[in-house]
Amino acid sequence: MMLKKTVVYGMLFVFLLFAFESVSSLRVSPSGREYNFAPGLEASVKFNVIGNLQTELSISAEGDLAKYITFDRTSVQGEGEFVATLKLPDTIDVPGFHRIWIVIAEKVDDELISQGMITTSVAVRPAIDIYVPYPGRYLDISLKGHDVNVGESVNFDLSLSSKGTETLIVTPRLDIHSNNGIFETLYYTTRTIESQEAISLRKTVDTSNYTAGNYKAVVYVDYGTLASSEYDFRIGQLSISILGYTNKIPIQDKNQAFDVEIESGWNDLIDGAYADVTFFNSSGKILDFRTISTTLTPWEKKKITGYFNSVNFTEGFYDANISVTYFGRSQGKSTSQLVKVEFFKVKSSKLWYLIGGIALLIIMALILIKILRKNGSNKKSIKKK
Amino acid sequence: MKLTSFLMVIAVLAVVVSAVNLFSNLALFSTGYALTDQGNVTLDIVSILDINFTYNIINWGSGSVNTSALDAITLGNWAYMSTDTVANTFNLRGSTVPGWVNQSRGLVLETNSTERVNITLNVNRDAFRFLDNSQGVSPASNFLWRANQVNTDDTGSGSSDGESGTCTGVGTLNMTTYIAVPYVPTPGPTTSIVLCNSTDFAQVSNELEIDFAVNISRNAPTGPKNVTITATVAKVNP
Repeated sequence: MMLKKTVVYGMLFVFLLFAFESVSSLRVSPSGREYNFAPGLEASVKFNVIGNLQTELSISAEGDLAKYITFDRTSVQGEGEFVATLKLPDTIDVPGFHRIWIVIAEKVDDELISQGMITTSVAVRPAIDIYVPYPGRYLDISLKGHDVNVGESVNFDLSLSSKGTETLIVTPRLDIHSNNGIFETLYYTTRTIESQEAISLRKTVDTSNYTAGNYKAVVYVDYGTLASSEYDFRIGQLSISILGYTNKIPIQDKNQAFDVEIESGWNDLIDGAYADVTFFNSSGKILDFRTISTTLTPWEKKKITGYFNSVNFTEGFYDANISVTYFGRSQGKSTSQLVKVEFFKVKSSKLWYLIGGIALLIIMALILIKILRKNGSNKKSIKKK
Repeated sequence: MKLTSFLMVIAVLAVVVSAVNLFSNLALFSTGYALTDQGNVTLDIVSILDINFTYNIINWGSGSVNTSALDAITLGNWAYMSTDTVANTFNLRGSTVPGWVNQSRGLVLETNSTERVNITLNVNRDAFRFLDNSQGVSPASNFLWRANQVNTDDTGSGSSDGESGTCTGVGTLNMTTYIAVPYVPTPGPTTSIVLCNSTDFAQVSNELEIDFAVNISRNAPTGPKNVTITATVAKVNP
């Protein structure tokens, strides 16, 4: 009986939870369409509207070419389908990109005082994009690549999109620049690109002859005008650089943090990296400790920390060897750096409190003397009178 | 004998013709008979624009201004209310006044679009028209809003409010501090404000919370008050 009651109350609670969670959603597909301009172009797009709304949704078009759009219906109740028909004129004066917004909006009755002080409505705006060709020759180019490790292949994807009225004949050239200048040049096949045609080309570069480092790929396309696009990429190897470390440490009888900042030079996961830090002087090793171990994603910078007690150090500079060991793809490597670390005594703040207190007492005493003298002189002048 | 030969030729011809016909039919209409070693799979993934108020109503109920209150906040001039319990700047004031229902949660906006979108907000009444019924009252009422994409959750029920990373990359979240709801001309179009230039569409980072604060003037006309916030999601420019 008790269980039954609990179940009933539980169901009631769940019902109330959902009943008071008010939601309004609106969804449309597709999000849009793209067309290259052609004189008198006709096209139809069927839009599917889905939502949980009970209200009427208005359908309209906005934009400089909105007058070339007609709809088979201008509203839907809650959800449904409609067709937008595009019929372009024979000419459009302004070349380039034009967007026609298809606006599907919940109708708001301004006169109606709804329940609740702040209520909502929703709208979605898919788009029909029209590309009107520029007179003459016009080419959009874009180059994309990616980081690799030495010995791997890097793909450069070149996108060429003719946005002019003329046909283009192009022979793209790809230069790979290192810090010392052009390292390699590759040529693409000569191709014809028709007006409003878009093509994508891929060039694969084998990096076996490259050394690890930063590179820049630059593609040049001469179509009467020289266009270029560039992409920075990295060629990695299993390596870690030490970027920084804690160079000042207070002498105290407690654990001190020692940070080592490291950076991966590999385009892969380094799944174990830690630093062994050894302090030594002319007599030999004083102390050593190990930092935490960490993983590094490709090219990641990270700080790893180890702890040691500095109480046995005296003021001054000590030599330290930071040796970072790391593992990737079952290989283990290490890198070391000799550094100097300064140890300093923590100045006691008690002395400063004492000095401050004495100074305060002196100031108060001076003020008191001044007040007493003033009172004394006043009394004398009264007596004279 | 001649008849037998004739019949044999006819029979052979019939077999040849039927065999040719059989293979031509197989080539044209066969099922499970591949003419090439290549097959094509065609599919079309349709893009989606989506907007969703997962929490879409704020109702402070009925109440009045505590005109006798003389604390530093109200000075007896306004009833202060907000949906923001975190900042606690505009929380429900004048607890001695019965009526107002505290609201601890702003509107929650989510998009499940399949591409980057921008989000715009419109409002059909500003403070003058929403709270003061287009009458010049003194002191005037205020109507403010702000947006956040912080994971802090006013309801305490998980990540049901803002989600960090919703406006990332080229996107910038606007209205991160309380600002006055913009002037709305009457009659005329509602005023738009771009909330987020480009919204991520990852499931874990696609929610924004819109908080509201009102200062209702002691001289504001009585009666029901209502304002509608319209959220529009649009395809970003290429």
